Amino acid sequence: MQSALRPKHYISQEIFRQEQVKLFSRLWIFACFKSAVDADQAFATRRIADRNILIQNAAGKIRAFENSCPHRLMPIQSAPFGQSRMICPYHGWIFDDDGLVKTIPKEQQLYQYCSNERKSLGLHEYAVEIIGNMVFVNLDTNPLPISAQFAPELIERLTDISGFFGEVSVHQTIPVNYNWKLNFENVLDHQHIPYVHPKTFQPLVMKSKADHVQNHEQHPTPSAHLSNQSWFSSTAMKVQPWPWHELVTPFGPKDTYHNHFIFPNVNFISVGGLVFLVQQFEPVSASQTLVRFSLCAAKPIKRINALPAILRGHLKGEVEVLMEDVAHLQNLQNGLRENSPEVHHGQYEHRLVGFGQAYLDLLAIED
Amino acid sequence: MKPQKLLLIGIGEVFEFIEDDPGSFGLAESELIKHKFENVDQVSALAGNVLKNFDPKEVTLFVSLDSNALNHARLEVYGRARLFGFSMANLIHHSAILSPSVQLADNIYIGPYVQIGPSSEIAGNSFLCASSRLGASVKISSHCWLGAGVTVGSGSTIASHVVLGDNTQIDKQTELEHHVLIEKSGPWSGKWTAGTFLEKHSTNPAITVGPSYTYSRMLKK
Repeated sequence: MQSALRPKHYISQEIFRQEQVKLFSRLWIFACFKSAVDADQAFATRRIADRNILIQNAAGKIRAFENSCPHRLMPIQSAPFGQSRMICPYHGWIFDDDGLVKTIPKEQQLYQYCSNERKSLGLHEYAVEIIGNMVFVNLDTNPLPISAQFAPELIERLTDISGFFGEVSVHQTIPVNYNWKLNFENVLDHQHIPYVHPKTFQPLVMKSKADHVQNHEQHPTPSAHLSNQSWFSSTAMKVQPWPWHELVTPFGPKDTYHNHFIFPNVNFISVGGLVFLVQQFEPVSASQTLVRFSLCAAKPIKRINALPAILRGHLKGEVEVLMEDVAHLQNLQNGLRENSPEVHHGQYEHRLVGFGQAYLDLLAIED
Repeated sequence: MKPQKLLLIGIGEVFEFIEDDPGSFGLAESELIKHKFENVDQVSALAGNVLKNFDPKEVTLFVSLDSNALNHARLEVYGRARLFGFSMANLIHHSAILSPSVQLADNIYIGPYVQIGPSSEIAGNSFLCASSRLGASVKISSHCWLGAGVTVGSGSTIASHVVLGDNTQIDKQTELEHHVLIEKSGPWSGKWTAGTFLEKHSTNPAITVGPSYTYSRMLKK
C-alpha cells in the first residue's frame, strides 16, 4: 500500500500552519488529567494550536480559557501546574470563576473604560469535555460533538480505565527534532519494537501472542473515518511483580499491556493496569515536537510510602524507551526532502494508511 | 552504660564501605555486627525480624540503605528500630571536618573528606558521601542523600527525601522542597518545588502533580 502522505507533510512549515488551524484548532485535544486540577483554583497551562490555554478549576468546574489577560495579553498563570486564583500578575486584574473581569485596581482613576468596553473584558473560553479522568479541550467556536471524534466504545473504555488513576502523577516534556506525525506513526507500528527496543521493551512482550487482539480487526482495510482513528487493544505482557502492586487496585487482568491511540496525537498505555502513561506529541514546528509524558500509578488501597520513587522509576524507564525511538526518528526526519521517494506500507500498516488519509481529509476542509 | 557493639544493617555502597573499613569510622572489627540484605524491599519486610534478635541495651544501630532516598518505605525501618528502643549511631569518617557548632541528629553518615560549615544542621537518616561540602547555616532534613562531591552553599535549606547526584552544586540561599532529585551538576539556585526530578540526561525536569504537590484541597479564601 502506498501512503497518502508525502514528504512535504513532514517538512513543510506551511502544512504545519494548516495543521494548527484545521486539526489542532478543530479537534478535541487532550489537555491534562482531571486529577491534576482536582481542587478549587488548581490549574494547568498548555499550548494548543499555537495558543496559550489555561485549564482552571473554577469553583469545582473545570474550564478552559485563553491564558491571556485582555488588558495587555500577559498570561494569567505561568507555571505548568499549580493552584491560584485567576489574578493577572502584571496589573492585578482579578477574574471571576466565569473568566470575566471582576476587579481592576484603581479602575476609575486610571482606566475609565466605557460601559460597553468594560462589559466585554474577560478571558475567552473554550469547550471542555471530560472523559473519565481525562480532560479534552476544543478551540473551535462551534466544536464537533466528541462522539464524532471518538466512538462510544472508546469513550466507555477511557472512562473505565482512567477511573483507576491515582491522584498523584508525574509530568515531563522532552523536546525532539522531528515532525509529530513520525512519532504517532511510530507508536502505531508495533513491528519496530524488536529492532529498536530489543533490550528495553521487546523482552516484556510475550512470544506466545504474535498479534495484537484488537477491537477493530475484522477488516484490515484502511479506514479514513475520523472515529476509526482512535482505538485500543490489549496484549499479553509479562509484568514483573513488586510489593507495591499489592497496595493498589489494578485495571483489568494481570500481565496485560493496554494500548490506546487517541487521534490526532496521543498514545495512552497501561502496564498491567498498574501504571498509566499518556504520551502526547505536541507540534512545535514542521521538524520539532514536544513529547509530553503524564504518568501515574493505580489508585492506592492504602498509602504507598514509596510512591515518588515508583513514579520516578517508571517515568525514567519510559523516557529511556522513547530515546531509543528518538535516535531513529531524528535520522528519518533529517533525511526527508521534497523529492524523497514514496513510502510503501505493508498490510499490517493499515492503521498508518488510515491515519494519513483521515489527516488529509481534515486538511482539505475549507478554512 | 553505653552499648559496646554496633549493629550495621542495610544494603548499598555506603554499607559496603563501612563494612570494608570500620576503623576509619572509629570502630573495631570486634565491635561490628553486620546484616546485609539483598534488596531494599527485603529490608522493609525483614528488618523487624532481624532486630528482634538483638537487645537494644547491648547494641547501637546504624541503618544504611541505598541512594534512592526518595523511597519513603525506608521510614518503616527507622520507625521500627526506634519502636524497639534502639539508639541509633552516627558514623563520621575520621577525615571529615565538622565545625564545632554543627548539629547532628542520629543515623547520619558523614563520608571521607566531608566538610560542614558552622551552624549547619543535619536531621536523621541523611547521608553525606565523600568530599561533599556544606557552607554555613545549611539545614538538611531527614532521609536525604548527598552524593560524592556535592556542594551546598551557605543558608540553603534541603527538605526531606532529597537526592543530589554526584558533583551537584547547590548555590547559596537555595531551597529544595521534599522529594526533589537533581542529578545534573548545576549550579542550581532558587526554590525547587516538591517532587521535581532533574535526571542526568534530561533537558527539562519532571514535576509531580496532585494533592500536597501542586495543590491543596484546603485553599485559603
